[in-house]
Amino acid sequence: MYIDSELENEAEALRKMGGAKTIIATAPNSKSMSDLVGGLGPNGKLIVVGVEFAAIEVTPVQLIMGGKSIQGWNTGAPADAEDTLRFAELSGVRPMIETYPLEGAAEAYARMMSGTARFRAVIAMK
Amino acid sequence: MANAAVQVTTMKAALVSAPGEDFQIVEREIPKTGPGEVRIKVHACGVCHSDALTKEGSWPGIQYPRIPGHEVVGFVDEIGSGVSMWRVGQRVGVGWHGGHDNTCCECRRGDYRNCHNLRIPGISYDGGYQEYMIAPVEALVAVPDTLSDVEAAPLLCAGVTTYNALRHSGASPGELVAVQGIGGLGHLESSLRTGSVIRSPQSGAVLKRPRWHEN
Repeated sequence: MYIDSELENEAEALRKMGGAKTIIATAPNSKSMSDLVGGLGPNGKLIVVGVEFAAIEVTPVQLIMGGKSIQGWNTGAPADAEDTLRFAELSGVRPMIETYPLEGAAEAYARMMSGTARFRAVIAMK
Repeated sequence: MANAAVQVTTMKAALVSAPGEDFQIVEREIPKTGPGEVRIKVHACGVCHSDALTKEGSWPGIQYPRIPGHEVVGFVDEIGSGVSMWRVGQRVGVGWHGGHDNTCCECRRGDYRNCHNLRIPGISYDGGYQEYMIAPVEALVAVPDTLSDVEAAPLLCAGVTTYNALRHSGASPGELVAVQGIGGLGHLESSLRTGSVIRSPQSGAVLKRPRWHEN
């Protein structure tokens, strides 16, 4: 299921499906994160992982009605990373990557910053 | 005398000399390990949006020049004194979590993620945009042989962030989970069998730049 927020209201689309239990916000866009609070279902949680410095706007009433919450999340300890690697092994989940030599670090960084990398730029040493 | 056995003592690194400066490819001395550290021969390093904190200088207190990179995979190539749990040749990685002090009140509760003196590769010390990197042992991640270097690297920040956030979210199988954004993190999150993916609208300035997601 794919919602294009330029074509439809993402919160409304989620509400039509009963509201989300969890929304994980990865794109660093506070406006989008603010809008998505409206897409949470009862006891739903918006988990913020996209790093952004602008404020997320939400009213107390939005959170109180339905007992919703917003939570930040930052990576994990090395043991969590080992769990992640094992999960990738078992499930077959792999990142989609573009590789660059070390000399191409500037290009790799520019691709990532412009949002055009599909989807993770990785420097691969010779 | 023949110099066939001359040891290589220098390496290449991509460093940032000052906030906002372009990357420079430089030749540097290969760093040596101190107590409680290992040296990693770097094979791959993911490029994370948070590398902008180093590149653009938006994280306070970074000492320059600094080498970014916190999605590192390689193998242990030298061991410092006092290191007993890791051996030379072992495949390892380092992610955003680049070291903790083991003594603060959060570490004493086992909450290493929130260590008061958390260290971050590429911010607190030189990261993975170089051929050899020094890391403290408590930051090391064992990397299974079934994952390639370039595939494992992004899992050490983007991967653990999305996986760990989801598994601690309280969502059970069958419940609706949505992922906003389809970039370095979002494409991984959505592959964790989640319910829906949201394309985010054009964002405002993020560190004076746009977003990870699709244009």
